[in-house]
Amino acid sequence: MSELECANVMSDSDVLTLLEGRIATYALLTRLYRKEVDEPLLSEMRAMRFPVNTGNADMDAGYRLFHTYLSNAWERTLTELAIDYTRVFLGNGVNAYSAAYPFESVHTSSKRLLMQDARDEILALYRANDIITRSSWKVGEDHISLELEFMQVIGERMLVARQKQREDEAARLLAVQYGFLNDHLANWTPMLFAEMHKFAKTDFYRALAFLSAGFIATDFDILSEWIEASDDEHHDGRSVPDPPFSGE
Amino acid sequence: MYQDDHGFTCELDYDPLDDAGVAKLDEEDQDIEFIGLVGSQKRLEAECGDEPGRSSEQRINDLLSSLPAQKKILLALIDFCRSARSPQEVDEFTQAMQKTNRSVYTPVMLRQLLEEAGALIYQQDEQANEETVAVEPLTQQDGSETEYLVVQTSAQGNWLSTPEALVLYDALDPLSNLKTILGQDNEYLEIYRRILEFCADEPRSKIELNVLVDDDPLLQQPRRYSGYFIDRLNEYDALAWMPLWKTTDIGLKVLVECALSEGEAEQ
Repeated sequence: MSELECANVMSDSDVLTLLEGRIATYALLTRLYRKEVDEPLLSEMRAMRFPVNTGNADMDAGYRLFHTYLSNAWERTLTELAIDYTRVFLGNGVNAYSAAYPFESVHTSSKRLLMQDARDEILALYRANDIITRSSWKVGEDHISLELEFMQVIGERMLVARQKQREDEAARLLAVQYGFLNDHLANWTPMLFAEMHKFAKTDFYRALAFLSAGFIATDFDILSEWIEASDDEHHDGRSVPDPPFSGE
Repeated sequence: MYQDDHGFTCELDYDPLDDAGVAKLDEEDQDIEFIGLVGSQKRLEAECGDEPGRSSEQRINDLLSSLPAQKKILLALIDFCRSARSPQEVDEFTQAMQKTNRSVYTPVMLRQLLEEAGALIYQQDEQANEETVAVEPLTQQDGSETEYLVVQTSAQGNWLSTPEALVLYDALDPLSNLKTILGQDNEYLEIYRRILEFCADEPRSKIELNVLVDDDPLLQQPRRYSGYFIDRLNEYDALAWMPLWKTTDIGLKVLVECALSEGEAEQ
């Protein structure tokens, strides 16, 4: 049974486990997009277990590629990954098509420019949710790493709300996450992932593209189901199969 | 007609000089010279280690001369890897040497440079020689019978010096080089001897060496300072920084030979 199929027939503890899993995956993806892999991260990833069957073909492909790549790691793996990170996300060209630029503005503006409308909207969303970027962050706030971290932070808040049985707050945070995925992450990242496949020379960053695509799609499906369940209960008063939260 | 990914089209055979009546040049013509190469041709050739014109010996020598500050470590690595060494062993050896020779070059970088120059090779099992080994998934099941892929440890290779590098290393004669350089600096032999003797007893600081020789009348005209002699002795392996200046075995041999020759002269 896939994660999505499971989501509708879950106990409270299963829901909390799933929320924790989402947070952990968002945190991992955040880190992988933020900067090059370093020794502690590589060691951590080599100690991970990757699920064989998640119910999503992209995630499975990503985990399998990660597994193969990490099983072949040697002393120059970190250097190879640093080079590939630069090639994939920074590029060395002078036009807007020289890398898989990890900014929403690039993929949603006609001239592929940084700091466009998407960035302003993202910044407003962060502020509306009492989130600001650290002073050390010097590039656009619509970087995929920050958008993933936003999902992680809201996910953590949702987990706490759920643990403290604050259902209204949990439902509100669910809506925030769903809206953010729907309007932003799930909207533009497929273009980024396609470009990552084009520029990546290591299976590691191909795996990252697969995993990210699969995970975001799966998470969007899960949140959609939960939102739908919430709405149904809210409007009809009908009982639906184990919705994780219900806003009153 | 060519159309790129973004829909722009262009005439591939368009020649802006057509209208001016300037004939196209034949690229096959022997007299044609090409311009527009980005970067120096010589440098590009130097970076392409595998072109047939340059032997391993040349490439190793180029590497040693291009990184004088790392020369001792690079040579020591060639000697260390006469027998196959694991990456951990080479790491430890390099780090021990770098304790007194701090560097931005990591052990892995130094190995990579030596490998590119043809001085070291990385030996792996035949099966592991493929760029990416197809790893048979090792699956585990937890309580819920979810299957997981477990990352496996790949077979580790060993570093080994190439025959060319060992020939080059064995042909080095640091003692003879040192004698040659001392012969060229004949008028300062007494200064060299004093420094080597001073540092043979115990490691000495630069300040102590300044005090030892800087006021010597020999060094007043032309003006020389202790740094000049330290640099030369260090370059030719007679002095080493550890972390004060200490006379090496080669330096001691030269001292012994000096003493012998002085003895013979007196007799």
